[in-house]
Amino acid sequence: MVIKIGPFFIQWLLTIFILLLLAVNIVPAWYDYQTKVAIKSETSSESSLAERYISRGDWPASKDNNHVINHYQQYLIKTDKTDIKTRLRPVSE
Amino acid sequence: MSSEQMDNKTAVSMKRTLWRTIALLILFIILLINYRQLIQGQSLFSFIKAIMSAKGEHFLSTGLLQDLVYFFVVLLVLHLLWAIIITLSCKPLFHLAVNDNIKTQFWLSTVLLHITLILSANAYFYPTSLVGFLRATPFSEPYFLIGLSLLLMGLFLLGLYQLITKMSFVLFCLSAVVIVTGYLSSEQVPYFIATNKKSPNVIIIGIDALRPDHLAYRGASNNLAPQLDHFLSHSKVYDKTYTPMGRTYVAWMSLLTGQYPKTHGARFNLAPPELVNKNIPLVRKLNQRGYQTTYAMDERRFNHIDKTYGFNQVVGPQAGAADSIIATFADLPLINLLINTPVSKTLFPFLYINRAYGKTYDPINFNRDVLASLSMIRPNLLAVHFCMLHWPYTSKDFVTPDPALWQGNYNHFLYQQLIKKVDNQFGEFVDGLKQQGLLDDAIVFLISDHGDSFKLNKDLILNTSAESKLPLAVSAWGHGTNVIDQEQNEVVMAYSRFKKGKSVSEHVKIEGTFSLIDVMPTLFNELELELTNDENFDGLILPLNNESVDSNRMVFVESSRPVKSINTSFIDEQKVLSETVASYEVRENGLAVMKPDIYSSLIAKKQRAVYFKSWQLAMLPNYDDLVLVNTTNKQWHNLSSYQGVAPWRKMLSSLCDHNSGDIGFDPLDKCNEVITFVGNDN
Repeated sequence: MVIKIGPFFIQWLLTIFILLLLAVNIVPAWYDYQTKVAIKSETSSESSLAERYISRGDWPASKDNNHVINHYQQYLIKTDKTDIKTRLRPVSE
Repeated sequence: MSSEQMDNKTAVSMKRTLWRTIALLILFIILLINYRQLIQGQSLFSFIKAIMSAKGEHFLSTGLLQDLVYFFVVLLVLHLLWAIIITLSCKPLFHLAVNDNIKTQFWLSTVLLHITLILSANAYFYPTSLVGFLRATPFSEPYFLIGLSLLLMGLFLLGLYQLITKMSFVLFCLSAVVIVTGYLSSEQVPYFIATNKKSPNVIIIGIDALRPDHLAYRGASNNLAPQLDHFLSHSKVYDKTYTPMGRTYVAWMSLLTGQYPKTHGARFNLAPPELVNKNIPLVRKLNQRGYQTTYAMDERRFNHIDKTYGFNQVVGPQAGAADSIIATFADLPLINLLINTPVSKTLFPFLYINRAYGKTYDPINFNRDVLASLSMIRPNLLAVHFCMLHWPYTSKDFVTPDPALWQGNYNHFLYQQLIKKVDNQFGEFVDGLKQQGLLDDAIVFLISDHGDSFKLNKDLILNTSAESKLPLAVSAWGHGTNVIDQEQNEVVMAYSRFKKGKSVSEHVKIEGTFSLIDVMPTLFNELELELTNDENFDGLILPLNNESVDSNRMVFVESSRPVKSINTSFIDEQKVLSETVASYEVRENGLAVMKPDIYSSLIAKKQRAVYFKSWQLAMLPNYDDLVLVNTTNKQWHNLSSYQGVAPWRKMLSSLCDHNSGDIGFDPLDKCNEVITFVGNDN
């Protein structure tokens, strides 16, 4: 069977369909990027649970649960001040 | 236009379509890699640069290059196959249109539909993937996935039907049905039939970094690990058990040989194999008795125990330096979707059931592989190690966060959440053993290889005198980093005898001073095995009740190499690499090992300690005094100013005897002082 009627109409439809498919993928990707930018802190060691998890290479959410991203300020990491106090003196080589 | 001309035109068009599809898929991969880098803020190239920055020639081994080339060739072949499937799927659509523009649009739509399907499926199955951005959209819902899959499969089958003869098409469909049916029917559970009634199964289950104080038997009330607690409540639990060293490979070597690291030679993870005594008497003896011996582990980056240690088989991902590089690169939808399928073992041996690649690691798959590997007619020796609790605490399904548990400590928060996951895995594994009849007659040990330190307030060792102002590190992050940090050294050890699927051991918490090296002498005793003349155990046979405890027992521990970049709440992998990479080389077989000359020099930097009753005496190479710790009230003292009743002379004498002759031990000559005191002990 060969389509002979309305090739321009088909082309328009397909163009819209392609743009829709691109949007389906690009919009959520852009949204994730914006989320990452929003939760980014000045230093990686003083950040939130979500930011640190992302810096490890994983996204901190399941399909149904974006809690630590949406409420990332509830999960701020406390700086470990004891790191400085208790640091070992270097061992001589 | 005749039909022959049309067919020719279609044939040319299909070839062009294939090339265009390949090009588009390559572009797709590049875009995803760049997007991932944008999100994560780190690139694979900076990772490789960090490796190559320190004498990169030590890493360019044939084995490593082969492993990497294999991975990238598989990746390309898979995308080529995908391109062929897309191209074939376009064929029936091309028959609908003679207009080239419409054909191109049909092609582009098909490619985008395929990409959407793969991204959606990736988001559905692996929501923690950085390219799983469709996770919160309707496109990752099952009905969408099923609908789109059926549509694209229909297009593909139609294209295939048009390409090949009817008979070939029918054969293809039948083969596909047979393969799928065969795979699904292979899920039947076999049952263990012991051919040798006098040989029980011996099962040693290790859980990485499991801290005793997070379990009910030590008073934890938050019920994080109900299945582990249940097991321990039907076992003999050895309270105050210490790991000889807080690193997985060393701890396991000590357990399997019944010896301290100084005796068996494995002093660090990734020890040069030629400096380690790989003779494991239990494995050798049980092989002779007709056992099937299996070592299983879901993370082999730092633990290379394999068949060369005498085991009949090893279950787990492939070990090698390529592991880290591939895991850093791998987060692509097609790879993720194939990882938990049977073909992945061949296609992606470094990623398959690899806990280090947390976003796709499925604990149930690992359990299934281990259970399937066990013999159903021969008795089994199984040593299995679960690494879910290890840093970086990532998982396939993100944890269900409980804000009430959040106290600002990232590592400890995720650790607590992952205890629930490893508890599930453990429970499921024990159920699997029962279902297969492997616990009808079995000796089971449950151990952890080391603890873990999170610098919790409750764990702090204190000194209320002016000494507390001295630059002594009494705690550190992680494990194997500081012998004075008690939570790194203390481990879980429990024994249970199973008959007909149930524990017949009377539950008792045995209080004393124990070590992981006691497991082997206990097993030798129970299985009535004997060592050959040139072999010995450093460990002791474990008592069965509190009355039999040896109250004069001393137990030794040592630290690993000092690494500043891991002694922090935030571990930056590139900093760790920069600090440590110069100490390692990659051998021809692709395994990363510590350079032998550096290995020896690092032994001199070890902290060493001895435990006796409620006391610990530690010798630190970077501290001028000996440190005495009361583990009951968590107080530490400089030995030179200590005035109490602790039996430190006896402890120091033992520490000196044990470490005598070890490289760099006792740089301040403290052991000579002990000669003065021996015979005058309190």
